[in-house]
Amino acid sequence: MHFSRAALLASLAVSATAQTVEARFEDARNWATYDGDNTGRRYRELDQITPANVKRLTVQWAFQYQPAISRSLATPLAQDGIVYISGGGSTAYAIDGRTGRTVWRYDYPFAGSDEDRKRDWNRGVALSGNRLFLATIDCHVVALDRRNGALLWRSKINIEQPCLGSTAAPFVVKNLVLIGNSGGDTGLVRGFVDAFDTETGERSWRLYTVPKPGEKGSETWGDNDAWKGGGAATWTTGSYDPDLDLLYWPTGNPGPKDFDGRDRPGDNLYTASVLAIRPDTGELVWHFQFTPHDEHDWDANETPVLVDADWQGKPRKLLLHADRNGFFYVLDRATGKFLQGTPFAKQTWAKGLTAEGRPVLIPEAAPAREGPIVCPDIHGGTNWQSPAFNPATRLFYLIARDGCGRYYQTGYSIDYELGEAQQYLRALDIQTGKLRWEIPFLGDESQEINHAGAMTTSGGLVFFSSREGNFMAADAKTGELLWGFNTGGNIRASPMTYEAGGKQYVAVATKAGIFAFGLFD
Amino acid sequence: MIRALPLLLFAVSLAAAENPLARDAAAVAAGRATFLERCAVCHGQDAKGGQAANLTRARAVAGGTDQGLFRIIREGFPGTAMPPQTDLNDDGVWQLVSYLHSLARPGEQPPVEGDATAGAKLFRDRGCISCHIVDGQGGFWGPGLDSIASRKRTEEIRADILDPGAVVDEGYRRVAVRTKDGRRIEGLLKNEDTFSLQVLTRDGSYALLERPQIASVEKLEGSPMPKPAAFTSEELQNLLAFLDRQRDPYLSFERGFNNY
Repeated sequence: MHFSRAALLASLAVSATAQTVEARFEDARNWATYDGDNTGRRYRELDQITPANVKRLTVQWAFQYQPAISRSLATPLAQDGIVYISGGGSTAYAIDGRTGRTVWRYDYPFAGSDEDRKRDWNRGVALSGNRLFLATIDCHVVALDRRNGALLWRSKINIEQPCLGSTAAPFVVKNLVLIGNSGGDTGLVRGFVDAFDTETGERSWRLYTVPKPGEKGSETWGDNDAWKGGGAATWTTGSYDPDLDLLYWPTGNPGPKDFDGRDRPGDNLYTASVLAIRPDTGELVWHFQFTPHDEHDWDANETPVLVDADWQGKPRKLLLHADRNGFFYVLDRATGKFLQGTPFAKQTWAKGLTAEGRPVLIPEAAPAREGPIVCPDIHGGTNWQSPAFNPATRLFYLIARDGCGRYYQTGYSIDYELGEAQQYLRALDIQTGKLRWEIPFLGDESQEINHAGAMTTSGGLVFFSSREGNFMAADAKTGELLWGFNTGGNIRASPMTYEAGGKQYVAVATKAGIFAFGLFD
Repeated sequence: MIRALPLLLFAVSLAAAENPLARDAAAVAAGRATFLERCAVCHGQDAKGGQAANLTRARAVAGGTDQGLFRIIREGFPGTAMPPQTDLNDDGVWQLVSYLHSLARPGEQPPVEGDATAGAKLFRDRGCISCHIVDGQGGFWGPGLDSIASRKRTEEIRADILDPGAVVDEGYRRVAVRTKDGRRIEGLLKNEDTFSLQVLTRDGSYALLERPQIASVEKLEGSPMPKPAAFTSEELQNLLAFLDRQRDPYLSFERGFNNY
């Protein structure tokens, strides 16, 4: 291939002003990691499907899990026309992305009980070159050859702790595959990120998200063993900036008891935070804690979304994060400096945020024996369901929940009651945090927690789902609801898009399997 | 104490839950001798059936638990002509279990004799590794072999090596597809159905084809695996010993021919 010097320079200029997208994710036809690329934006440059023609979107193929699973939280991946998905932590599939035909299936030989299998769900697989990675139901990572499903290696995730699941989709950075843990509400685990060599499966490093006594940050815990069950679990997937060479990984709520922080006085670092990690070493470079000393189960496991934008007149590398605590945060992702925080959902627990981004608490919102009513409710202003950012509209899309509930401090880790709630797809202006538009979920879907996320395209659409199985598209600019399809069953996963055989598909996992849509032609 | 006692007795009467003599060459030989003496009259000299069931395929042998088969042998099969073997001691029954499992289950034969280390070297030197993954190393063109010894009996593996074209696993059969727009695609037919074909080509990519685009599909004879240059019998035995050690249970590749 021949490029003129001018054309090459022009393309460099574009990529310099564009997102910090790694070369391996530049081919828009693929969706090769959980969030589509390393930035967590869930945005792809595919524009066959537009607001003008989306009414012609029809099912092109469907795929059903066999054996059936109790739920799927997975985002399918697509590479060179093949779609890859997990069936919980015990199965991986390669699927013909044009017809839905299974190409191969890998069954992890898991000897657990049917009860274990009922809890067998995760958020999908990861790819690197010809390797595919699955976090298994019994807390291992396996590497498979993506061409034929043959096992390459199997490594145990953190043998020092009980296995309470690793439900995130693994994430690949350079030569490492990264995975964390679940179980932060049990009082039995301490969060961590494990990094394995993609070639050999050997563990390269582990970063605990709760420091042990004597380590930096341990002064934010009491003088007892609470840190051992301190939570800060890492049950969702991070993002990565190759220019800064920083990996961003969010953490969950503190423990041992979610609603009762009396045995863990202090801020409880690094719970309910985002961590910036040097991927080669596992060194913690900076952290930002959204909810110090959380007592409401407000995990910060929502995606860290990396966006380059002008901020108050100057280009800046931003990290956007809509937290379960109801605030939308803008951080400088080079330093972790707090830039702005604005509520995007109904909240009654903080008077506001200080200049450093620390919440100014309303004391009456702390959990208590009589169960004060606090907003957001336990499900949070949003949750792990993926948000999306579209560079053309400059809008941040997310599932938001205006809900309030009672938080009882009765000796249990979690003891709550839900009140009324109303859920929305919301579009936020990232410069101001202000609501640009919203689409309410109606009927039964207005309140029942929606764990299905969003995705957006250069075609000018945002795709999202409802609790009861409607897969929908709205105009990314105006929020006009344009199209919907009832999949007939629960959706708890976030959608993706890819191209195969010259055709754009959008796909979402349901409890049953995958539905893939394309334009009728 | 009063509650524990009956439980203890119960446990003793059931013997071990798993066969303590599994894959033990001496036990298999002893079990075979017992079989010929007591069982062959109904089940056949080769255990493939006669008046009574073919034990190389019977569900209680090929599937089931060690303990379940132990009990059938010891207690007989009520309602059939199968008598109890109350005069055999536990070891004698377990020897029968070892022998029958060695016939009916690919992974239950005694370890294959030979120099597995020399076999591993041969596996690399003869280029087997360029197509087959073992222990995380190898090519993708052939099936991964991490668990081959728990999936195939040594006789089958031997036959696969000496005559690769005789039986080719589904998913590894050669195919040549001609499309209506004049392309010719040759590769391995990974999967197909009434409407589509998925062909893995030598560069590791997939050709995803739909029947209406296709002019012809030719299923090619023979295996993608070349017939090996002559092995000495010692070399072959060493290679078989190496493959016999490949029992990693975490490889369980299944091809989705039924749209699994």
